[in-house]
Amino acid sequence: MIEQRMSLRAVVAGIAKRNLLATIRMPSIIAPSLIFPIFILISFTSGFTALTDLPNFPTDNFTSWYLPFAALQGSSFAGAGAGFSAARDIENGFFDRLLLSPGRRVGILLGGLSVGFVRSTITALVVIATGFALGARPAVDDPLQVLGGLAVIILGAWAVATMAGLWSLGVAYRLKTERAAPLFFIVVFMALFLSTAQVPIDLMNSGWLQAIARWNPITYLLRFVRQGFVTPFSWADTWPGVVTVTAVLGLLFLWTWRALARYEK
Amino acid sequence: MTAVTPAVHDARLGLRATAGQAAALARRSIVRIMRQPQVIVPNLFFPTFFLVINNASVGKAAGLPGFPGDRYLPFALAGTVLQAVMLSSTSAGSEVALDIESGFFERMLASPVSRLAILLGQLAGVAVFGALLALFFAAVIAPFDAVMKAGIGGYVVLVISAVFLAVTFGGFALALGIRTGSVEATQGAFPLYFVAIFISSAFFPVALMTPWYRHLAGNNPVTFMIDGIRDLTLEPFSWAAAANAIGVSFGAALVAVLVAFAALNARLAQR
Repeated sequence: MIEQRMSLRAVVAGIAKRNLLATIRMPSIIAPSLIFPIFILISFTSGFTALTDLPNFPTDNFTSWYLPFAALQGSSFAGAGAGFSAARDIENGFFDRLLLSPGRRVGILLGGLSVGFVRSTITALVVIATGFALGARPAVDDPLQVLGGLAVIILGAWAVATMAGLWSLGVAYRLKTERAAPLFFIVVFMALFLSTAQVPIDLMNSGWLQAIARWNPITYLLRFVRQGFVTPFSWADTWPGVVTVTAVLGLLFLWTWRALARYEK
Repeated sequence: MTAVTPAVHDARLGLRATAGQAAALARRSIVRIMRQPQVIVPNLFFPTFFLVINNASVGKAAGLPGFPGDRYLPFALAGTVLQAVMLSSTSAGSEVALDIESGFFERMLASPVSRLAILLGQLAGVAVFGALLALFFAAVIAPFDAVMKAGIGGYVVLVISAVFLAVTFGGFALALGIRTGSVEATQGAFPLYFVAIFISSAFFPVALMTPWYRHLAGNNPVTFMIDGIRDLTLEPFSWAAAANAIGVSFGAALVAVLVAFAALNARLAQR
């Protein structure tokens, strides 16, 4: 049992280290996940700032509203990188050699996801710093709420990076080619934008988007991560996010796990 | 052997020969684009996605004081067309870079083909595609009671402007493709186009932006191009607005063709 646990840790650490080194050695991979959300944050908060003039907009600071979303968006790109690495390893044969090794399969999965944690943390921190520079401010002047607001953004970044990572790994294990990369991003991109990314549900202009946003787990994740910056912390904004994210992560884990199992057959 | 400049080379060939060659190369360029769904589909999908999402999410902003017009969809038409045209026109650069990589471009230069015909031929494909994109997006929003207030004249100006805009962005992409000879480098310029669109009036009126961003977007040439067309979308037809829309896009197209010509000159000088 002890040997098994060590083996899992060794597999996760080994794969994580390898993927992390590969990422560091290719700045062209890291740059988009950092530059894109920063640019989107600057562009949307400066361009769409007048949206806060809409009646009942929950804050008068659009940067505070948009900052958590920009962090999630950048983190989703960081997480989807797991699919890239896996698809590349599948194409060059390394993944098959990995499966022949005595390491536990769950370790291969977790190792693939682990880089997303590191990258999404960096992305979230950079986006938060940019957001503050652009004028984002906490909803209330309570140090605990401020810290909590920062913490939930980091937690949200990890959650969305893991979701995107599991999704992209599931696609990579099934399609076994780097050419599937657009699928990693397009689905995540659409899931993010078909939510309360830009305005709250009540202020949306179309019923169809309101309906989709109400069912979209990202909406509940956004409610969770906007605490501290847009609204004070409340149980009503916390539990739907936690429950939805847990359920989605569980389903995505099953989807990816089954893909890995099928890959081996 | 003394290097002959493109202008001297073309003068020797004569106008009729140049026109015939340009037509043949234009046909090649158009067929090439139409045979590539990977070029067509993303250029329809992404602008449509942004148009639909922005209208559905921030559409109520059209009720804000200072927002031009009273609905978001007609407001967004000009920006969407420009976005689609801009994204699709980069293919002109990729195609020429591909020709350089495959050696076709050098063979063309070695043959008695007009230099101007080479450029115009490459640009014809994106110009035709640009016109089709303008008609496509105008047709997409029309059923939602979002028609151009300038009427038929407005649509004609929209299509003409889209053609010139395609030549503009295609010309700059072509220059990059000719200078670098690399598909990767040409496609690497994509983020620049993305930035140019977002720091403009494509998705939101300049007057409602933050002051420093308003300054940037207000001085962005892309904003001038969009606003020219937008005037005809939101206001009844006027010759002044039509001349402004066509004039701005034509001027930009002329500059882009000259830049592409200069790039070709520079490449010939290196031979």
